[in-house]
Amino acid sequence: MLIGKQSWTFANQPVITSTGVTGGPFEANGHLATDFDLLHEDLWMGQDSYEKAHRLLIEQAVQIALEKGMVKKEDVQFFLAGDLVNQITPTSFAARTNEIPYFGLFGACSTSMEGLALAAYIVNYSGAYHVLTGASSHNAAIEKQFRYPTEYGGQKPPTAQWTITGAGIALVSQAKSGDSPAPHILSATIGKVIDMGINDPFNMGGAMAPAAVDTILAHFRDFKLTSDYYDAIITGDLGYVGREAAYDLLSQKGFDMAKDKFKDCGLMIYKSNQPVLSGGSGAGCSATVLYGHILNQMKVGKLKRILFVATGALLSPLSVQQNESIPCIAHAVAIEYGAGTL
Amino acid sequence: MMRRLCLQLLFTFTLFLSGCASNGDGKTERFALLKETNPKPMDIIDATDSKIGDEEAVKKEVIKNDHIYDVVIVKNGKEMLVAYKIKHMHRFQMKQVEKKLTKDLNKKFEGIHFIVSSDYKIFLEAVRLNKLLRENEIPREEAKKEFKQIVELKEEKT
Amino acid sequence: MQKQQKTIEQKNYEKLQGKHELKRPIAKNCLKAFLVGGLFCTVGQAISYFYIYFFNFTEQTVGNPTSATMVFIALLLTGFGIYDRIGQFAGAGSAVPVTGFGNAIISAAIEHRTEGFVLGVGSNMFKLAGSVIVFGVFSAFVVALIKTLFGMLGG
Repeated sequence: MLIGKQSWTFANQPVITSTGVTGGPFEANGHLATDFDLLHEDLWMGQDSYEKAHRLLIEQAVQIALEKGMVKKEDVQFFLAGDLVNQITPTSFAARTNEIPYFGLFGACSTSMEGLALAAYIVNYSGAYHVLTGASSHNAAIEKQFRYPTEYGGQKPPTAQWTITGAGIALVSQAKSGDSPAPHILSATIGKVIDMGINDPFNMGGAMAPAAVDTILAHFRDFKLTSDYYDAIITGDLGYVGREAAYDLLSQKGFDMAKDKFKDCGLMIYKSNQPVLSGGSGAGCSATVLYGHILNQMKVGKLKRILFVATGALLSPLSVQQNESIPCIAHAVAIEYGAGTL
Repeated sequence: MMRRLCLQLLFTFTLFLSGCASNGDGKTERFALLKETNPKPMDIIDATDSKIGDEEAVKKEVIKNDHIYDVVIVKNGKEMLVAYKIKHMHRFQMKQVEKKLTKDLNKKFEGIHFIVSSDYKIFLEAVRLNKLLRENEIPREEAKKEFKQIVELKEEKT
Repeated sequence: MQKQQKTIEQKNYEKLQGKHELKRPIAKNCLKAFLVGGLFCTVGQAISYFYIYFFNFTEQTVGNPTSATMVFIALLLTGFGIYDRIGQFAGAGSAVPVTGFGNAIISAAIEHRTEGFVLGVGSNMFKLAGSVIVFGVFSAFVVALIKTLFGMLGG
C-alpha cells in the first residue's frame, strides 16, 4: 500500500526465508568471511573468463538459497536480480540456467534493494509464493567494465573503493502464522535520482551520499517515524568518505541519530589492513553483507529492526568520459526480525 | 608462491648477467667507466718519422680543459683517437666541449686527423686497445683493424 | 557541450563533501615517486652499462636495447601481478618511465585475452597506450616542423 509520497508498506509482511551468499578470495580474507556460505579461492573460479565466474557466483548463490529454504526451483515464481556488467549478462545467463521467470534489474549498486522492494511487493499482493532476488558483482569483471585493466599500475586516490566479488540472493516468501522467527519485510521507500554535481568516478561514495540522505529523509517523512525507531540504518557502499558526508548532511537537515547506529556495508566487509582505500563497493557489496552478516546478526538478536539503504551511482564509462556528473539513487527497505506476522 | 617465483626470476637474471663477465678485461678496464684511468698514450705504428711525443702533448692539451678529467689516446699513423670523460655536472655542455676541443686540437696539431669522443663506449674500447698495446699483446695489423672498428662505432647513430 | 551551472544546493554539498574527501598526500606521493622512479632508472642505467660492456653499443645506440629490456621486465612484473601494486605505491614513479608504457600495453592485453586474440588482445592492446603513441608522433611532427621552418628562415 502506498504510504506518503514514495513508500510502500507491506501489510502481509513477506519473509526472507533463506539466503545464499557467495564470495571470492578477497572476501575470504575479509572481516565477514564466516558469514559467507561459499568462498572461492580463485577469482577465475575454474571458469575461462571473469564474466563466466561472475555468472557462477550468482548460480551458486541461487542454488544455496533454494537448498537452505528447502524450496524447489519449480516452486519459485520469479527471479529479480541484476549486476553491473553491460546489459547485465551474468544475471541473465544465470537466469537461463535456473529457468525461473525473470526480471532483469539495473540500479547500479542499489539493485539489491530495488529487487527486494519489488519482490516484497509482488509477494505481499499474492503475485507469487516465492521470489528470488539479489545482486552481485565480480571485482575483475566490473573493474574491466568501468575502469582501467586490473593489472594496470595506475595510482588510485584514497577516495576510491574496491569492487567486491560476491553474490547475495534471498528467497522472499509469503509469511504464514506459526512460522519460526524470520526477517520480515515491513516497508520500502523508492528513491529518486539525485545529482549533486560530483563528477569524480573515483569518489563514488561522495557522489552517492546525497541520494542516501534523500531516501532516508523521505522514508522517515512518509512513515512519520523518529530516528530511534530503527536499531540501525545501514547503507550499501558509501565507504568512508560517503558515510561521513551522508552523516553530516543528515545532521544538517535536522535528522539526529547516534553515529554508531549509522553503518555502512563497504566499511564492514573488509579488514582494516586490506588495501581497499575508502571501502568496498559494487552491487554485490550491499547484497552479500545484508543477506549474510546482517541477517545473522538479527538471528542472534543483536539487531531487531533495521532500515537498509542501498545506494547506486548511475554512471557509465562513456558518461564519465563525456564529463557528465554522476547521478545517484538509493532505495530503502525496512526489515524486522520476529515470529509469525508481527 | 609469489615470493619464490620472484626469487627464482632474480636468480636466473643474475646468472644471466654474470655469465658474460668472463672476458679478457683486467681491473682497470672493468672499472673504466666508474674510476679514473688516465693511461699513457699509445701509438700503434711505432713510427720513427713522426714527431716523437705528439700524443703526449695532445694529452696535456686535453687534460687542461676544465670539463675533462680522464683521457685515453690511441694513435694510428696520421689518425688519433681521443676519448675522454666529462665531469658529471658538466655533461650538459658535452656538445660544446667536443666542438671546441676538436677545433683547438686541429689548430694546434696540424696534419693529424683527430677522432674526438666523450662516449663511454668509445672510451672503454680505447682503454682496452691501449692496454693491449702497452702490454704488447696485439699484433700491429689486428690493432689497426680494432682501431678502424672503434672509429666506425663512433659514426653509428642508431 | 555547455557546462551546466551548479545550483546553490550542489555547491553547498560540494563544500560539505570536500571536508570529508580524503586528499591525496601529494608531498608523500612525490617523494615515493621520486625514489621508486629513481630506482627504476638506476636499474635501467645498470642495464645500459651491461650492453656497453658486453655488446657493441655506444651511449648513442644503447637506448633502444635498454628500453626494450626494461619493457620486458615490466611485462613479467605485470604478468605476475606485481606491477599494479608497485603502481599503487609509487604513482608517477612507475608510470612515467618506459616501464609504465609497457605496463599499459600488457595489462590491456591480459585483460582482453578472454575475448580472443584478434578482437580481444589485438584490438584492445593499445587501448591505454595508443594515445601516448598518437600524441607522441604528432608532437614530434609539430616540433620537427617548427625546427625546419626556423632553419629555413635562419639559413
